Amino acid sequence: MSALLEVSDVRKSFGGLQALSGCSFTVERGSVTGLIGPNGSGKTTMFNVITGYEHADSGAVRFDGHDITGMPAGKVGGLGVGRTFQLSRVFGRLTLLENLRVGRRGVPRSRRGELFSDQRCMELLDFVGLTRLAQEPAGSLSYGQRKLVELAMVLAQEPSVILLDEPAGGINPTLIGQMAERIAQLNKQGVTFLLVEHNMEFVMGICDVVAVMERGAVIAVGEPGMVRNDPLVLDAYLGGSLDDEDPVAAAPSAAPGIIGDRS
Amino acid sequence: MGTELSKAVVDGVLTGGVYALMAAGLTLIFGVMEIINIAQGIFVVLAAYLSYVLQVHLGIDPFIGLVFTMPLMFGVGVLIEWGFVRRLKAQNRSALSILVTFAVAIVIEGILTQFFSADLRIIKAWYVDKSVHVFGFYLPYIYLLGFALAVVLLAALYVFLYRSRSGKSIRASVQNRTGAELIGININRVSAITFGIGAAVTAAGGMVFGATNSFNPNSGYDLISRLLVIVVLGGLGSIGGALVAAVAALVIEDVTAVLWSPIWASTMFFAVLVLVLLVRPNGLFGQAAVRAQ
Amino acid sequence: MASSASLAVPADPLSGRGLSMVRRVLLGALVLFAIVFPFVFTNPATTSIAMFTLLYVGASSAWNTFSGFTGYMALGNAVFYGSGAYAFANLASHLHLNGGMGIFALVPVAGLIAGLVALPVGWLALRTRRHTFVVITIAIFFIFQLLAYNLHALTNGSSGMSLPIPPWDAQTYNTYFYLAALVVAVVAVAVAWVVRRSSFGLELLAIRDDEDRALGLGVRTTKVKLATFVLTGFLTGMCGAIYAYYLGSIYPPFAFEAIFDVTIALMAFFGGLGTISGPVIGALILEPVQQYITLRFTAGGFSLIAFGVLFLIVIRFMPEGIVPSLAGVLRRRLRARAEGGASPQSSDSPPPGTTVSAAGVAGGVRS
Repeated sequence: MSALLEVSDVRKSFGGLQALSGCSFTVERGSVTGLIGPNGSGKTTMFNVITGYEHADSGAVRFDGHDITGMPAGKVGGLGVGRTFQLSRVFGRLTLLENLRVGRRGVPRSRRGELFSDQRCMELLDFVGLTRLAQEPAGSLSYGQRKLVELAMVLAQEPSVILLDEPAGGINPTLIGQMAERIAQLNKQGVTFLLVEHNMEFVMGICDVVAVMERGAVIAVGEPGMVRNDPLVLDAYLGGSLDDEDPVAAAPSAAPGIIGDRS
Repeated sequence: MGTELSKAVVDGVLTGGVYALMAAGLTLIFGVMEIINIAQGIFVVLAAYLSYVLQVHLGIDPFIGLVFTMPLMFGVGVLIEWGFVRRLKAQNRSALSILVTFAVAIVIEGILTQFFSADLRIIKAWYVDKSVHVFGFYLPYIYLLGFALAVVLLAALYVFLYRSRSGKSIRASVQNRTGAELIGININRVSAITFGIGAAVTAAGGMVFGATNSFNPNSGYDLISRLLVIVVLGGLGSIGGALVAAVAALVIEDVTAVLWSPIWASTMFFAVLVLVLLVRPNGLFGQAAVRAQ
Repeated sequence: MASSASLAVPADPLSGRGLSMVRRVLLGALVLFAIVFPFVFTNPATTSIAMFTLLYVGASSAWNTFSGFTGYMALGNAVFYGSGAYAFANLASHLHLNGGMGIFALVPVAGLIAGLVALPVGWLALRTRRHTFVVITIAIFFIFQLLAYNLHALTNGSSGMSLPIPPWDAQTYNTYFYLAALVVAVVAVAVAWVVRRSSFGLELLAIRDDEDRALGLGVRTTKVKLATFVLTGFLTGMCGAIYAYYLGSIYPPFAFEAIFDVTIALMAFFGGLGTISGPVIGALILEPVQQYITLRFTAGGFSLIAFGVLFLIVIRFMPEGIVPSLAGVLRRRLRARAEGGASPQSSDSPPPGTTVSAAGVAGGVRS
């Protein structure tokens, strides 16, 4: 294995708030790496910095031999870094099929045709089990279904690494299982994953490596079993057991699932 | 040239105060409700007519008349919020609100035209044509009084927003609409009050406008375009920003008239916004929109 | 598995992929009717209203192609209408052309000039978003109106410019102008249709729904928006050129009219924002009504009141527009008939038949 994604000493502050304070870690090619840590430890900011949605104050991000530090989001995506969002960002008034077709621009011209052919898009919808709804606007889907659409959208660009921000947050157990299954399957085919998740059962079940963040830096890395018993990590979670879901994180993300979040 | 220039600056500052008074309601309503009230221009004109009627038909001094016109305009604001703005559905709300308030403006313009025709009017009082001589400048009383009124009312508005209970509800709604709703603030009530206050403050602005400019029902268009420039320049939702922007824009306009030509003064007024937005897309004092997630 | 997908009805009847036979026939009949119209209804008062209606079909459709698709509410399209009008007037006077059919060839040229005007305007305005964008388009509109008064060399100021008068009797005059307006309107709608069906159009819609996300997926948002803005300027400019030629003279307040800005937006809203047929239907209904109101109540404020009340009624009762409302009804009917209850919103549970075609995904994955 070799490092596909390499984050070194990234710093980022918002006003006076230090969101990332010298964060470093690597994601090995072909791994499923979990990024965990209490709320506000900088996980989503880290995602934003890697994928170009935010710029680091200092430090470097390397991907597959390219220096992608400070690169605009569209370019990072074009290189093969896909991501999903905590509150999934699909195009609500476009149909699922259209959602999948949007990502064409970031991909080199030579590969566009085959990647975004309708047949290929339908295959991806089939993969996440939403073929039946191909012509429905994405806004009419449930919260969990949107996460799956977002995954399919990212897959349409055929990334070599996918960053998932809380793939299991606020969705029902059946879909969580389905999501885990899809991730494992894609990983077998060679896709590398980096995921942020609060559901520890999910993380422990699916990840090869877990990195723990606290106050903007990675404080521990290791196999899930090892990390679970690391005193530093337990400390970071204020002495609480890792199996407890973070109550603050659970509340807002659970709400949309209950309401159904239709628009 | 030197005196002319400094006179232009002083004039700009004084008129700027009045424009800030007219723009305060616009920026307040936007800040709370995220709605661009296109009817603000005709609100000013309506308020000017109200003061005019009180003065001509009942002989009430325009400044004293504010005791009547401000509550009246408050009512007009509340009514319009309740009647039209509140009914808008969430989707496309901000775009539709522009059309709705524009439609309201047209109706008010039509009603004013019906009553007063398109003839130009101006509010007269003994102090309108008199000036005071200070530091070599002839300063018309009405501008001084208008400026003073602007400062007093804007300060009062500020105190209201930051000290009173209703003000705190309003500011909470500015910061987080859903959050405010969750802690039990009645958004409908706050919206109605905001619209009312916005219109009531405009009553004062309209009175001073009517005493310093001749107006007819058609004057609303020019006004709303200028007021929009001011509130965007000052950062949408910021009352202090609107004051600074109004003074800056009007000083630039008046100075352009002296240094270049009066013909290009108004163009310069709008060009200022374009130039500023080139450098700062969120206005002078506006904050960058919070990125979604 | 894909078979049930065909049940869904596209939100806009005219924007679906490909036109069904029925729609083709209907569309053909509509165009045929539009062509024959001035020869059947020859009254100049009628054809005049019809001509204006077509100009608004074109302008509203052009507005919708940018604002409806991207969600950027432009309230300064009169800039292009006026630019087209003055470009046409200047071309005609500098080339010393006489009135007649040939001069219509200048309409696309005037449109191109308006498109050129749209380039810097769009570049500037599109640096901002949402409300600031709305206001800056209004501000730019007023700058242009003031320029029309002040740039005497180009506009002859408030005295206005005259255009060549064609040597036709009233009936022929209106018929020719009607047909010219029809061509521009058809072009504008066709452009909207092509854009909507292209991947370019998809990107515009993605920008409307979540611009930052679209950017992150590699959509070149700035280019796409600017290109569409210029396209809108071109189409609107052609409408302005015909308008100026029809009037025979042009003045700053006619060329750069604030009401125009709002009217074309309202028409698109009334018909259905972001749909192809919406602005067409909106203009076909509202423009004749507006013309009637203006003719009926000439003096005083009544026409304004009536017009404003009409606005309010439209917005109050048709906030989504006619086309989406009808499409919604149709869609619900069809679904109810086809499925008998099972709606896509029902639950989080995975739909039946989710056997995974792993091979299909495996084929293209890089590692």
